[in-house]
Amino acid sequence: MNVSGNRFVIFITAFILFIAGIGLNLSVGASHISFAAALKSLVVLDHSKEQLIITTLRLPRTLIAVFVGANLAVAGALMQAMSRNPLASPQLFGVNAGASLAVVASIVLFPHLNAFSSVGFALIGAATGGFIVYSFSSSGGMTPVKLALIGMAVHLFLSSFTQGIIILNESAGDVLYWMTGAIDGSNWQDVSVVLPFTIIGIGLAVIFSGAVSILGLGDETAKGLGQNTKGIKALVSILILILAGSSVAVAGPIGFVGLMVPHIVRKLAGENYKFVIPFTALFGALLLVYADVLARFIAFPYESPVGIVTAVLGTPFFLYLARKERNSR
Amino acid sequence: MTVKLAAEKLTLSYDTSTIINEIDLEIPEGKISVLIGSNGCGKSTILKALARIMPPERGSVYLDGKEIHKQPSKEIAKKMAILPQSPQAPEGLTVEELCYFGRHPHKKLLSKHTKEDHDMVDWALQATGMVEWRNRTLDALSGGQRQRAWISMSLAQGTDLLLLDEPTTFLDIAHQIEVLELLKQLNREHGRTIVMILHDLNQASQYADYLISILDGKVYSAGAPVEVFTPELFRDVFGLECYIMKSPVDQKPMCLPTGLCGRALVKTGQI
Amino acid sequence: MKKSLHIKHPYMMIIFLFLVMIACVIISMGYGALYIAPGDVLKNLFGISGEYQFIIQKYRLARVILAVLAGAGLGVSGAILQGVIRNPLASPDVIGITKGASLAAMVVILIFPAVPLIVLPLSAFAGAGLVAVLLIIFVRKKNARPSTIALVGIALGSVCHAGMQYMMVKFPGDVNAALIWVTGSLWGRNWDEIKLLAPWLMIFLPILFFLASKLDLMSLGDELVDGLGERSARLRFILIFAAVGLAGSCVAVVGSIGFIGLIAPHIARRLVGTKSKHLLPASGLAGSIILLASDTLGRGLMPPVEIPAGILTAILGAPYFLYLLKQEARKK
Repeated sequence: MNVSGNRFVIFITAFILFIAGIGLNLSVGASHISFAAALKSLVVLDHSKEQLIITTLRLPRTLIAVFVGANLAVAGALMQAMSRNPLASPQLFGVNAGASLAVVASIVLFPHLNAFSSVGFALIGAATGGFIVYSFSSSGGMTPVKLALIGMAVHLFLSSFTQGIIILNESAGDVLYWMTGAIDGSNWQDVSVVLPFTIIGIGLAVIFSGAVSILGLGDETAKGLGQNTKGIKALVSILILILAGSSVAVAGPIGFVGLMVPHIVRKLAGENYKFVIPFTALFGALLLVYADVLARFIAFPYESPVGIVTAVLGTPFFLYLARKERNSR
Repeated sequence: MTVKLAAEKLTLSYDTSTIINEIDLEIPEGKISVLIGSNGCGKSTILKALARIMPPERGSVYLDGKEIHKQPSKEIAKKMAILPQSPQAPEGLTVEELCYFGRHPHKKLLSKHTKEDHDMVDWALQATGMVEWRNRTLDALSGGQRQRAWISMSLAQGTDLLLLDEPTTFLDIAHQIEVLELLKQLNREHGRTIVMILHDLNQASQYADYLISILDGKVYSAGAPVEVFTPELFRDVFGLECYIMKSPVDQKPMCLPTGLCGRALVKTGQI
Repeated sequence: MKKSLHIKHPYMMIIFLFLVMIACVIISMGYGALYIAPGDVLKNLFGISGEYQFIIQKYRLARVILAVLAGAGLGVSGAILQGVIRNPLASPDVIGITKGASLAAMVVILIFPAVPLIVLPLSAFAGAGLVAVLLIIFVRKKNARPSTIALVGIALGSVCHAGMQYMMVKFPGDVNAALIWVTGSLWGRNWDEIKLLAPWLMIFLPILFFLASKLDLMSLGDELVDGLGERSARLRFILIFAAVGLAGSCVAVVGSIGFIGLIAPHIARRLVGTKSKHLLPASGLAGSIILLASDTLGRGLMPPVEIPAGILTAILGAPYFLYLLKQEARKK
């Protein structure tokens, strides 16, 4: 079977799973709503009690899962392309840690800030964390592992600030919950905060996907092909920041999505970023939607942070990547 | 000779150290030119500067008489293609996909591939003999095949000029000859101007129309191999005592090292 | 490139570090809710004056000595790991050992808050050991590359991190205490902790100084090591075991204080060069000084509030570490 036929099948399958996932996400919960009723209330306005639950509580949450999942996955794909490092992801490269620190600091210092301003802080924090790690990525003799270790060091550094703030402020409980990456309790305001960033970020990523592919060939080859590597890298960096930053601002630092999804997508759909970017968005949304459903069962009927599920799924994957790294040299 | 590519008073440095100081260089059109010199003499740096990958500290590079740094990068990419040393590509990339990248300088932002793009890619794959491997991934190819795949990308760029930084260094001997023969064919049959860096001096003599030797950041000598291959060259540039003979096969000059001298002796502590 | 004078006289440097450490000890004992001048500290230590005996004996002396010991243990552990993994970025924190200890400690604090105090350090040590065992299992094959060890360590660290977050969410007992422990601090530590830590140091440090020359060999690469008659896999195992033992026991008593194992060896390397017989003692001393300084700052910045030492090591440590890296990258 030729490659593009393959891709089509994969896309359709993923899309179907995605719709099913949304349905599941909407129906599973403390008060059970049937699958059919859930999908029905999306389309037909009948003012039933179910519809109320769905539209005020569950639909925003599901949408957040979709957007944040897509954002983080695409951010990870862009990071891996730009740094040519299979381990790059917002969490391993200090971007998440920076954003979390900024948001926690802003909550503590300015408790009455609204969600939009949180995003502003998150972007600054994400930029700081990511910039520090990135400034090392072109240094001489940089291997993927070295960069991962640097990312770890930056992550530890930034999270200790965050921990310090939490300890000194004794506001442990809520913030810690959020720090694990939680999307329950999301509301429509959160959705409106994330949506513009998702549209702009993923939209631009798709438009520039050709340039991103060329970046993956190495700086010298890319320049030789006439690409303005400095400009493209700057643009991609900004996209990464707004995608990761807005997600952290709204849902806390959810890990592993940005790491896992791009690898899986590249295995299925090849290395052409024209396809990789949209597929990654779809798969990322899919992953988080299902992870959110799973998260509800950890301590049923109480909610649990979705970040725990992604960590549980992600860690074996990370170990698998580590072994592949070993075998490839 | 018509000059295709020229450097004028080019000064190149990394961080704070100056590698090349005011070098003047000319590359003839329609020929195969090879840069030779000992390790660390700056050949790779010069090639990168000629390809405008590395910005010069001072001086200029002229392509077809026009300064390259005054033209947009994409325009230059339509006239000059470079294959860097040890090029990297993502694992799962196919030969054909790589080749299409070569069309990048000719494409606008959101446009799809045109018929011209398809034709160029087909032609490039044919010229490099890679048609039957067009759907294989790069990591499934041999060293020689992979290098040919990269050359097909450079060809698809549709340029008259091709620069290659040590295209044969990590290949075994059969693959080295495979690549060099391909380059010779591209020059003789398709009229491409080729500039490359080679380590094997006898290979350089055999395939080059024009040799340029570099010593201490300056051009030591330039010309046809039979003019450039002199005992003085080997003594001064490489620190070797050499016996120079004509190859019995094609009369091209060959060097047979007979011992160390000069700088090499100093380096090995024998003086 | 000018050669630093210090490298020519490594033993002088070590003695110098030792003196600096003693000075830090004396100064450190002065800080807390009540400030005591160094002169008075000395007088009290030597029994000339009895004015502050109570404070020093009960609160500060033990704490400061613990800082010296734990800092040394972490510094030496880091030096060994960097040599074995052949990567100057390796350290007990980054490869998950400290996270394993934290997770174990958190389980105890949140689920079994009523157990006797001794259980906490023991469980922390067990946690560190468990991660190390898993690490070794995963890279068991003889040709396990050092970078794989680092990567697997990072992965295991992430598991522990996720586990800790799960604990904090599911058992919201004394989360603040758990968090303080995890960050690492010397608050309230006294002679009991020293008694717990000292024996381990006395076991591991001599073993390591004995193996110091073999550690130098490790930097050559496994094939050369085997070719020179050592068994690289076994040697690596012993060295990692010792490094984990040191780090685990230190973390068990002071919490997961980060960056000491990462930075102390770098500083030591700049001062005394790369030979293990100089590097190990120098790393230990550097580690002690760093921990002393962090703890002292933590006590002295805003008395009577204490900032946990772990926060200060991170705040001071990370920028300095990144600066060091930039310097090294520039040299290449």
